[in-house]
Amino acid sequence: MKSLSILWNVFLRDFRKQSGRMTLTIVGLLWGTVSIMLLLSFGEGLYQQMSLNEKGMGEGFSVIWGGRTNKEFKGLPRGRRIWFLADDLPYFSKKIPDAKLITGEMMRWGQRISYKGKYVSHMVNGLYPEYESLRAMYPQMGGRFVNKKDIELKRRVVFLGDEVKKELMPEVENPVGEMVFINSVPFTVIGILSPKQQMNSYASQDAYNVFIPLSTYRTIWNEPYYDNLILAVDKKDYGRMKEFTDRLNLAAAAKYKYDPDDKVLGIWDTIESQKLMGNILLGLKYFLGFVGFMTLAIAGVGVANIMYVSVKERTREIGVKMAMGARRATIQLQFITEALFITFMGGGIGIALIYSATEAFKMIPLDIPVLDIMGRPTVSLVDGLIVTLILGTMGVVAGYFPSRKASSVNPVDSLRYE
Amino acid sequence: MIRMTNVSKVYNTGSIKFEALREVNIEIKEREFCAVVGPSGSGKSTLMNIIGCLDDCTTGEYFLRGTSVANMTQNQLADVRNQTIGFVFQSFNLLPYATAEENVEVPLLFAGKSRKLRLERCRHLLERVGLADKMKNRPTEMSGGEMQRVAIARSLANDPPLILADEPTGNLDTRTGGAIVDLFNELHDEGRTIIMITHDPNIAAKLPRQIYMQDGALVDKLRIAS
Repeated sequence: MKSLSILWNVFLRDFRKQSGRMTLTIVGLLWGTVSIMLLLSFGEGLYQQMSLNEKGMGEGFSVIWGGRTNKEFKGLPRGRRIWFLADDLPYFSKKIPDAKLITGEMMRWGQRISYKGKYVSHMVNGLYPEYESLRAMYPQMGGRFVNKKDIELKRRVVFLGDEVKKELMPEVENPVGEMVFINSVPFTVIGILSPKQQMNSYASQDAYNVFIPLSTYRTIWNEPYYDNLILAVDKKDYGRMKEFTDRLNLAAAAKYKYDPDDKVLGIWDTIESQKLMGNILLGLKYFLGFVGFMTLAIAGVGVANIMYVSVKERTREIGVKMAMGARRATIQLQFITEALFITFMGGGIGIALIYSATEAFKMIPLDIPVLDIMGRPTVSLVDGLIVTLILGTMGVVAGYFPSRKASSVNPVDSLRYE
Repeated sequence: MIRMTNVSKVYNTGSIKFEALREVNIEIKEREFCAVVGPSGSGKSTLMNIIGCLDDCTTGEYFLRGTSVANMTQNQLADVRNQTIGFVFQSFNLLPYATAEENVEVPLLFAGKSRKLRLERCRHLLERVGLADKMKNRPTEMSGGEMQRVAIARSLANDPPLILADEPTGNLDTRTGGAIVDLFNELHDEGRTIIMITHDPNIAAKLPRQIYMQDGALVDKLRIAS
């Protein structure tokens, strides 16, 4: 008890008397923590944003489109057009019953969309209600997506991409129920797409398209062919997508009489390309981890250096204290206590600073496009603890050894130290 | 108080061996006041450091108040330095960042004395050495004589029976040095044992006992090179 109170008194006294040195050391550790955390937080933000963006188009499906035959087959000539018709959907669904969903879409580029005298030119998409969850087409509050009734009744309703809404009616607060014209046909707005970041797309970014029921689309343009089929599979079958598209190709080849090896169909397996993206993300994560580790090492060396020098400088002081009757344990414990205190102060303040800074940054409503890709810096408290722990350990170790050396020799040797 | 038998100290710096003390035999009784005199490099400071338990001897035996120092644990040595011995250095060895009062406080701190007691004792000791008005001054704001007074006050902190002074007047002018010697005389009169290294033959001559050293050994009389 007595030696503890001695330690406490010495610690308090030295801390007060040498607060300049202590503050500098704390600032050094704080700076190390802040810089690493800043780097990691930007990395984490980027990673989270990219992971989010990657899902912007939806996931777990292949897009399949028709083409022309390249080979003669069973007496039929080459160059025949193989496009999908309305009755292909039930046909394929029967042939591939284990697929989660097979649907089709139609699209027409450069259609004139107008609202109260203003007009823009965008792609019109005809589709079924299943498209909503499949392609992450979630409506903003107050609106809805195309539903079954719309298909049945061939309603002239339209779901607008959020950018189209901004272009056509920037000042309209509640656009649901407003009337827009596609070419010269009036449509009622039923919903606006929730803003999303889409890293992959085919044809066009969803934000710039307008979406109408496929039945209505077909009536207006008298269009029999699907532009794309979309084949979605359950999560458990993500690894077997190739098998599903092969089966679809076989079924199509049987129905339309072409050589299944002819590569007539265009197939885009989004799972495959998302897997690639996933690898890039993983690579990014490793890279950031590596950079973080290197920075940590640099900061660690810095902290260790500060501690080492600051303790080394005090060798003479240790000698004086020893000559005045300080016990070894008291001196060593004092230095460890100081190092721990410095660590907790520096690390703690550092984490608190960076945490409040990133939280504050999140609260500022900023509409900067770069944030949609870069994301906002995000701090993980676990990272902060690990960083502080590692820096702190390096600091304590770097401070402990010189203090141990200075207090282990005869006092006269430490007194002689210059 | 102090008994040394065949004490030697050898420094090994690489391949060079240096014998700082050779077979020193000495006995100093309680309440003695000795001057240790000798040229530079004769081993005076080494002897003093060993007596003060700041250094250990290579061979031989040293008994402090009947106890063999070689057999003491590190903690016992620390306590001896804290309670039994007051050390006054030639270069003062004050903590530069601390005030006079805080420097005097150091041995009291390690003795585990309460804050109230520490402050009382510091004030009393600094008053005694004539520095009542400099309690809050740092070493850099004091003259050499004042710093040495602080160091003496510090050596008295835990009221030790033995005071060791390694050329306390070496860095001071004659008049200031004289005042310091007077102070040591007072301490001796109070019943303390005092050992003081000095270069000054005039100071040494006035003390009750002189110990002469040359080339690491005790000698009866200095062969003064003329």
